[in-house]
Amino acid sequence: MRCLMCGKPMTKETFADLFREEDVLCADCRDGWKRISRRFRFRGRKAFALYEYNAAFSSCLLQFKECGDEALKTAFLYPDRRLLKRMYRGRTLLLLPSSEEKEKERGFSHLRELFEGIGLPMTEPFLKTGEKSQKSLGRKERHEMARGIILKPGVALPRRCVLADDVITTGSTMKGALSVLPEGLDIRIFACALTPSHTSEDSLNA
Amino acid sequence: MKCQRCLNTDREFFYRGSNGWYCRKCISFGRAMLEEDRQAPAVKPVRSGSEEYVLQYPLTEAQSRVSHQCAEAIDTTSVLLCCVCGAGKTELVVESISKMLKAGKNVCFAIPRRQVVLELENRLRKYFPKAEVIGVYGGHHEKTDADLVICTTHQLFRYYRTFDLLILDEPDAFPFRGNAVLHGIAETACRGRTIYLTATPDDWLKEKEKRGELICLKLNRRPHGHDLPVPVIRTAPTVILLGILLCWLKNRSTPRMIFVPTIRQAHLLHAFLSRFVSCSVCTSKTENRDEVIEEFRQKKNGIIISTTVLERGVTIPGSDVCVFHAEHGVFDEAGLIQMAGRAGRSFQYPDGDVLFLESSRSALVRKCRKEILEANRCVV
Repeated sequence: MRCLMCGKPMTKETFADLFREEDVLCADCRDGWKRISRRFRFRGRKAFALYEYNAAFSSCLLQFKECGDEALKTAFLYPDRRLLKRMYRGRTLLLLPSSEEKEKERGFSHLRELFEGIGLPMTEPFLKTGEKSQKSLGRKERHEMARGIILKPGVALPRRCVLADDVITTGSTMKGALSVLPEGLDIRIFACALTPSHTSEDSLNA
Repeated sequence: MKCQRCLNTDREFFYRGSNGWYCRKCISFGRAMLEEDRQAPAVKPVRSGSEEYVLQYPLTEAQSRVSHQCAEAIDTTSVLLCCVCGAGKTELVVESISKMLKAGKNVCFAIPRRQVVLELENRLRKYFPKAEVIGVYGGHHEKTDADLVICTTHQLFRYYRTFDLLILDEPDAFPFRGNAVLHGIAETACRGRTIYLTATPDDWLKEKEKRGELICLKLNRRPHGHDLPVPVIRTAPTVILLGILLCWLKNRSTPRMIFVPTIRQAHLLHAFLSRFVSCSVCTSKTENRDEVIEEFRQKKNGIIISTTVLERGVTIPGSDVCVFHAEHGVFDEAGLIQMAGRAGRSFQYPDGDVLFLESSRSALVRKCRKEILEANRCVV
């Protein structure tokens, strides 16, 4: 078994290695990731993030998303798959959209691959819209369009769900998604990583 | 299975995604699907007249002999030009480049370090005034096609089977040295011959020579005809070494370069020396590196403290060199020879001063000195 990032063979060499959680990255690569396991409120909803969005995390995410290195899909959530399954039992993951263009270029849905390993049901109820089709939309929809996100027409939404994304940077995609979801849903929020600027809670609640 | 770009054959590095197999070894250059056939990028034909060149100095007799030999040899085989530091390796291949351009062939000059690309771009532009010469490096690759391309070895991934002549400068330097991905990319970028330019061929090149894949041309003389400066070795505890260094820096009329093994040491030494003399520091973390070097170049008797970033490819006329803690593990033999080779490169001041300071006896330092003596002895 080789580390997915640096390609070095992984062996259980030291005594401490025996107690480490099984992982797809080697200890050196994983140590670069800053684990924060932060529980916070995002617009009043319970939210959870695993890592800080730092250089090591972003280089891994870039390789996964931009270079299209699908093998890295397990690098993000594999060590926490049981925790997340327990935490969100009985919920459905609502995956945030990425632009169609990018997805076509990539050839796979990166969030679907990323969250696949957890073993929770997933749907992709959102669409990211380009600016071209704006004219054909009504007033209310156009307001929603400001966020660039709409619900797919006729999509069935589960009552208990988790909005899931890879990184919360400004939080605007997440806000956009929240604003198009109907009232009365039991919504949680999950992101693999959070930018360090969001350490103060107000910035996310605003 | 074999990656078409980096020539990797290790099955463990191939992964089957939803679009098919791809190579993970060279994934940082973008995803290379295994089933897709790579196409050579379309390149413009070489402009006629671009082969005309002017050299700033005429070649010496020894230089022009090697230059002719090289230009002849590339018709049939790849060439290793094994020349001491400061022998004018770039000038030696100008004739070969011109010959290829005249035949309408595509030529590329690739170097591991970005710093050197800039310097070389200017130099070759002067040598080939009629040709379109471009530099391609990280953050500067809007245009990738010209008569003569100068690029970093990383950027070669853009050119699949494009060049009829690929000149690899310093193939034994970091990060190219021992990097299987970069070696593979260089091999696939070239469809013709390769010229390797180095003073210190590594095992990979020696191996190639043994297998008969290339012929080795040697030039152990600098154009001014003087011997290479032989390093003086001083072994003492660090405190005394600092004393020796200070004495060496006194009464100087030439620029002095001090090499240290680590960035931390560079800053410590800078803090210490600044109390006595004015000096500047240059490491891989220095943001305005180009400015620092330019400033040092302007001064007649400046002092620069540097890590191995300036080990190669930088020519400061008439400078003297000191390697501090030469026994440190980061310096290898090739590195030491290269650093010693920074000294005595100008015609006005052909005998530079090289000082190796070590805090414990090191066999490597002595081996380096022996190599230099050897090169001085068997001048062809």
